[in-house]
Amino acid sequence: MSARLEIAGLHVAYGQAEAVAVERLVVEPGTLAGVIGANGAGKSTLINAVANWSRAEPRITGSVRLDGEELTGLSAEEHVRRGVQLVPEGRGVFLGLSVEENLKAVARPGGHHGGRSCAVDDVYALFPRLRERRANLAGSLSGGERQMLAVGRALRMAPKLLLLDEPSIGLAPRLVSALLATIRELVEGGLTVLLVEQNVHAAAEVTDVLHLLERGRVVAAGPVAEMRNDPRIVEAYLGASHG
Amino acid sequence: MNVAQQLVNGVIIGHAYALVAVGWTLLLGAARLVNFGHGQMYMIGAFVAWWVMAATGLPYPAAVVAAVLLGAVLGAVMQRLFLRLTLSQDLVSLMIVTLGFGQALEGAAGLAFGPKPQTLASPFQAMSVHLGPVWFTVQDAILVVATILVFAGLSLALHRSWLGAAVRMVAEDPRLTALGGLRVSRIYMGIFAFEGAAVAFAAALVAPRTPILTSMGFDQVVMTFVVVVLGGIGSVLGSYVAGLGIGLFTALFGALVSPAYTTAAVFALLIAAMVLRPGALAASGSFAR
Amino acid sequence: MTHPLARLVLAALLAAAGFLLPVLLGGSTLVYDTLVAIAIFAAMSYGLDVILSDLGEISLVHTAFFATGAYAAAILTVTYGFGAWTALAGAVLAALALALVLGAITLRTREFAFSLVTYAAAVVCMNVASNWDFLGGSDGIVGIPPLDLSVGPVELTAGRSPEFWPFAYALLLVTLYVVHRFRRSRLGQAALMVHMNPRLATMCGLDGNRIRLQVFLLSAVISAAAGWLYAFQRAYVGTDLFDTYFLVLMLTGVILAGRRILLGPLLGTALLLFQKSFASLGAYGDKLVLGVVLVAVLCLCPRGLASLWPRRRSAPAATGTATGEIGAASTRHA
Repeated sequence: MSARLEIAGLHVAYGQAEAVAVERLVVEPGTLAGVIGANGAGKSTLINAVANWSRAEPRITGSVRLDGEELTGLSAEEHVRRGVQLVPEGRGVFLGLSVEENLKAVARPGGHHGGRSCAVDDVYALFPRLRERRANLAGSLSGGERQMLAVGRALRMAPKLLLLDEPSIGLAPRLVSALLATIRELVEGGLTVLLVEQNVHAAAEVTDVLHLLERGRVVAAGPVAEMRNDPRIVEAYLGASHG
Repeated sequence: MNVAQQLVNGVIIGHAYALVAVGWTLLLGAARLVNFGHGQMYMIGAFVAWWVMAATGLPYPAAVVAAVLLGAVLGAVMQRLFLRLTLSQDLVSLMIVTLGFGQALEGAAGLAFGPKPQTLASPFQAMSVHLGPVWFTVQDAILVVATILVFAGLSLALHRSWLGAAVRMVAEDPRLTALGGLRVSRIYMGIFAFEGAAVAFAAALVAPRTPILTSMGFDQVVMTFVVVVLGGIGSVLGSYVAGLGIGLFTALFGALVSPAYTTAAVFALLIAAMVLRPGALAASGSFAR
Repeated sequence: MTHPLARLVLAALLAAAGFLLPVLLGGSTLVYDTLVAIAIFAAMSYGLDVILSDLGEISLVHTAFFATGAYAAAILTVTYGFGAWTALAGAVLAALALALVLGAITLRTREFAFSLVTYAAAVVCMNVASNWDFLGGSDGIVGIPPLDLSVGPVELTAGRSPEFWPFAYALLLVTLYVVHRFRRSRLGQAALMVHMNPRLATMCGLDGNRIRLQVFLLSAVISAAAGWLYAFQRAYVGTDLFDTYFLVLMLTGVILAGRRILLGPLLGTALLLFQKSFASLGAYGDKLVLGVVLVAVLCLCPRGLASLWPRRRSAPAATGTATGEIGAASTRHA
């Protein structure tokens, strides 16, 4: 059986400047993989390239496979239809739409591609706070609520692979743990997730596998237990207390 | 001067402005597109309606339908041409490209329909209604009712339907819309087709009031620009109010001050509004209710 | 190409060859008419080019500056009987005055809003011109005398197109020189920095609005001077000067070749007017062609035809700091 996600020889460049060069990165089904690294290491560029989505116009070459099927060259919409769902960094919801509209106005979630379909009520069950605020405009939500809504919206499209770009950004530590714990629950239920995080502490708590990205390249990768003791990570990201 | 009659005229002209503006309003709100080809699309709509009646002998209502259909096709052509610029949100280039599009339409219409003025003969233009001191034509009444229906329908569709939510999503963030699995280019196609159909519909209803010329695009529609921009970028209700307000202003300023300088006065108001409140032009993207 | 003297000689040779162009093309009245029109409209377009290439904005009010020059020439010669030099001074002053007012109004706005405001300003100018009797109203002003720029014993007059060519050509050369000098001047460099990197410009102590206003004034004078000559060439001014046609011609001329290329607007205008003179499809057909060209350029190669040219020099713009851009831009014009 092939991996859920298999990246090979992926190069992403903006103009002349190469931002990402990842020779190989694999995510197995039903696992939570993390990509960690410093600011500007190319984490967002990498995860966006997997979904072929960007606000800029990068040049992408290489291979991205979902369950062995080549995705390179397909539009961002087509990635969604095949089950690759990105929650971009920062703004992942429509501020001018209500919470309920944000959850409803997505391409009809088929589940036909094998992902777990997810009704609006399922999202509310997962994030009860959203049910309370269903009629409010997303623009009036707090940062944490917006992030829940963005994840909920992504789940509505029944992803086989959920790509999360810095979900913890701007959230209070308590909210970060709660959100990541919910993600972990979803993974226990069978979802596959690739998580990009600058918050290495938080990522290490929930992921199965970690990839360390530096200057666009994967410089270390392995099960989270090993990576926690990797000196490069300990020194740069976890500090002495975890040494 | 008959003030009541001027007010009635103002209301009618105001609804005409609003109806001519409605497609552009949506286009500007959802795609940030300032369509300087709007006037030429209006002209094409009027001429298609005229041609259908003159060449085939079909009745006026059929001509209205034909104009709307062709208008939608024209809008779709625009979408094909401008999609890349729309997606990259190169607003100024988009604006310039519509100037060229309008020139091309005007040239093509001149080749197709010739230089002579024509009359789009609506049977309702000859029927008039007298109510005490004021009068208007049945065409005017149809225009006002149709405008109200179009605005109400559009407002409902935008805020109560799934399609409307999709349009508002594209307006707010086209790239993010793609992550909802929605085909952004198709939503744009709908928006552009609506612009084409709406302006052709407006032309078919408004043009019977005056003779039509292939060179009329600029003059007939220049006020629309003010309605759209003053109404607040892309605000549907705002442009209805702006249309009505400018219609009344035009009628009263024309009667009380100077008909010749009405355009200058309205545009001076617009400039003042834009300079004093540049934030309104920053294209916030949410459709005001 | 790098030696300054060699460049000067080359420019002089080009200028001389340009002057003989009508003779080389057969010297017919049509050739003269066309080349005179190219020179005048290219000069007009440079006003817009300065705004577009150096401030990065698109002004839709430059037809009004062109018309201001033409109207000033017409009023001063026909209504008040002044000579052509006085008319030129009047055209320049009128354009400066209008630009000062419009500049004060518009320059606080940027990009999208700037274009919308300038468009609205153009509509106001047009509406005023077609109704104010002082400006001839919708009839315009007819009977502008032949151009007479004689100074003392030197007789400089022109009636017909062949006689007009030296003046139109001289105007074009002066315009090119001014634009060239401007781009190498402190103002030109400052404008580019304000455009490319406003924050850096502010940190360098540049007053963005002041620089934008100065460039706006310069560009108005350039377009107005072209309008001044056009009034004499046509012997008539009217509200048709505000036609969208002129605006589209200007925009297409500037955009067709590519931005920040000294000869770009000239080549763009020349291509468009040659088509109109020698491959005309009738008034409507020409309009169609003009519109299609503008749409095609913006949709297919928005950076202009020059971007299709094989690159000789790699663009430093990719990672583009403002100073890099300025350096590249000034070498390109040198």
